[in-house]
Amino acid sequence: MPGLETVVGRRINALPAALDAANWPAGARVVRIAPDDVFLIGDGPLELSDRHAIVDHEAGFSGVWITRPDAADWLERNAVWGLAPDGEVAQGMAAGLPVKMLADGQEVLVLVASVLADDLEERLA
Amino acid sequence: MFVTTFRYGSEQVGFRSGDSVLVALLRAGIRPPTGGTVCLAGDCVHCLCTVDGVAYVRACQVPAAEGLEVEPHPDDGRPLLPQPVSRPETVMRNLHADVVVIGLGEAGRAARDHHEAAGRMVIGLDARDGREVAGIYPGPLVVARDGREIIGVHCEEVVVATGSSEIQPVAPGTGLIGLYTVDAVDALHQAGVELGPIVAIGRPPTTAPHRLAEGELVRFEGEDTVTAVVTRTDGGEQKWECAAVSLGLGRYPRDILLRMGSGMPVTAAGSVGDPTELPPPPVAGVVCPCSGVSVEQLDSVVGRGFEELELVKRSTLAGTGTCQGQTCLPHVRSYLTERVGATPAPFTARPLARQLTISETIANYRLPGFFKTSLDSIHRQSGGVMDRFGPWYRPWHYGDPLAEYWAVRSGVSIMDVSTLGKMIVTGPDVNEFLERLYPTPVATIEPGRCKYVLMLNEKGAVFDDGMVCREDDHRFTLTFTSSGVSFAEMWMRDWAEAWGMDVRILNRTASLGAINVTGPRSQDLLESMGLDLLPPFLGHRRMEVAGVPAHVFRLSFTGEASYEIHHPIDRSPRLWQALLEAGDPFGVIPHGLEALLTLRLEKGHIIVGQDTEADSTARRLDHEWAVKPEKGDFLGRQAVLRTDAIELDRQLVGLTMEGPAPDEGTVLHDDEGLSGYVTSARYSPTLERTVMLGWVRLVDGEVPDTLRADDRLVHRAGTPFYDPEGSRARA
Repeated sequence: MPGLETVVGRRINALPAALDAANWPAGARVVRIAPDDVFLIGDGPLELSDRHAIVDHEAGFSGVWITRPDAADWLERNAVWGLAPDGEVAQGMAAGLPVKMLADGQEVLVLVASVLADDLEERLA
Repeated sequence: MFVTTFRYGSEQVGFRSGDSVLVALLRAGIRPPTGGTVCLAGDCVHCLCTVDGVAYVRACQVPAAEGLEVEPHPDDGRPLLPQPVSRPETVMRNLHADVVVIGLGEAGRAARDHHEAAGRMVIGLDARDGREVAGIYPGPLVVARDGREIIGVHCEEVVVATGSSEIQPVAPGTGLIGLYTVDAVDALHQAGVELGPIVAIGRPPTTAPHRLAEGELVRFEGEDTVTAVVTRTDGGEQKWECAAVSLGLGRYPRDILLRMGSGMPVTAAGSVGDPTELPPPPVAGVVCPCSGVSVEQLDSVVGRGFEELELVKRSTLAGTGTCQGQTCLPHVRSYLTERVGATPAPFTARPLARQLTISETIANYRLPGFFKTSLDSIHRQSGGVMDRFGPWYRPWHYGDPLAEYWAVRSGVSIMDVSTLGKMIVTGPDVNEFLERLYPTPVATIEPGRCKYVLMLNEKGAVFDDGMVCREDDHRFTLTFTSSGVSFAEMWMRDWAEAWGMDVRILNRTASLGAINVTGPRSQDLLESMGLDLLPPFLGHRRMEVAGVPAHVFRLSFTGEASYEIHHPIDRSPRLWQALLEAGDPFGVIPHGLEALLTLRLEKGHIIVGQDTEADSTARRLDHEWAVKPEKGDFLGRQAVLRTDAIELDRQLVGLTMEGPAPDEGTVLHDDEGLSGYVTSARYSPTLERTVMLGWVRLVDGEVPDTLRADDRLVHRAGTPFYDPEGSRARA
């Protein structure tokens, strides 16, 4: 797996219904971590109906884009879970660490908390 | 003449293409030394051997191969542990399918074809193809081994088509060499293996020459190898001389995986699901060859009242051995049917059905990850001695912890405190939520101000501490201990849901770095960077520091004026470097945990987990000032009120002694004996004596003035030991 690099975006914690109905910036990637939690990659205006939502700068993830076959092969050997459909996030333990994967066509974004990025790279070396 | 051989003990054994190890051995005239009825189907335990250092391998299931190292198991006792050898790590492969079919005989193939025709993705697993299923777990997850890898197949449905096994005999002499199931006899005959004169009991072989014995099986005779089998007819006993016995005693479902899948979408195909026909009740001999359980032992345990199958299993260990009951279960059920009058259901089957090696068991197992802050590599390059502290790698010191200590006390120093737990909480109900969560008033915290808080559980015990910092009417930044934040997040989310509170909770621990600038010259350092609107003591403010957007908190854990700068984690290196450069005229150096632990102890600050126990109330911790029952309801309040009414029995107190610090954990004695123990101990360079926190038993309601530790005199002392007025922290 190629080297991981910081992925900068916005972290949004809001009511699930507000996230479901949000108007995301064009071209942005929406990493839905939990019903009330999104990591948004991409600039542009965000329309969210929850006025109490937490929207903060997020630089706590590291990631890398890999091909879908590479992702599937990597998961086969390191995780008990598989890729989610396009645009959806699959997440769980992989190589003993919490990893998220966002599939987008023939590419997959692998994300891990930056505080574990070195560890993940070492485990996959 | 064979050109390919494997080693068996001290002999070289030749083999033909397609031979298993067992067939090759039998062809060479070598019989398994343990004796017993050989099934050649992987069901029994009578051909166990050690192959290439792996014990408990069924020789009938291993294809003979050039260079194999095979050792027989001893005919009594267990095989010796193999010598440690370097092996490649076993990896686990995870596959995903709609259906898994276990067993690819006629019924299994039909099931596979049926599901594939319906457009479902099917994975077939069959021991004869080298993929032996070891267990079925909820999911379902089917775990198989293939000798090189562990395969985990995650699926929607499992079809078990494992067929049935031949019933083994129970009679005196079943441990002799030369006994075979009828299918084994035919298979060996077809493989060209000569067994000598064969006598058949029950269903006869279809191809192998034999004499068919009449009557019921009574016993086998012989020294080590069978020489005769005795049957009983109406005319009495009859002895049949032979070199081998073929046993066709019926079949029993090979259903352990089916039973293991109880409650899961696991179905049967073929004879594995057929109704069982139990053999006649055993009257003498060994019922369970794996555990060596005889009919006499069954008589004994049933005679003592253990009449249920599960109790018989536990009291005799029948069914718990290598074959997991495939051999003994029909006999034990038949035995209990006769003794108790009802046929018991088979006992529960749990993974694993097959023994795995240690390497297979831990395939892909990984230790939990330990976090590294984004300054980790800088610490290492700076000579930082790194170690794990809670879930994080942290710098213990940078080579001179005493110099680091004095930098804080007399100048300025920086520390990477990114590990600190950090959360943001907002929402319409956030004020009420925090009031219920914390035992001290939150409403009185003004925007831009912070307050130290304890976290209490329902028992009133302290499980974490930190700061509550109000940003505006409905937004707070909360801090927690480095080790406690994950639990605290779960705790908060659980209670928010239980109370139906409309709040948002976001854990920012891994997203925000934090650097503490501390020491009497900390303000000078930051002002030299152009920061002239620094927050007051117990205040906080958002501002840019060296071009980095930051949230600056004026707190103090070290006892000196301190500014905790929270910032996006990817900006930590830049901010760290800027602080070192700006601090150079002030002699700034970084400090590690070694210095910090001394600094905080001089101030008497507790570390939750180190200085606290599971039942440490605020009163026992001498932190009653941080709990205000009069404010109204909060978590743990009822327990606080109840325990406050009880006479205090022990307390965490400040202690001092001359000379070096004792080990943390050192026992404390009072005049009457054991009093407590030391939780934290450090030699204070400033105070020039050892300062400690420790749990002490109260005598007549009072903490003794003097105690002993390691036969040294210990004095009770008030905390903080250093700057009790707090003037330096507020400066």
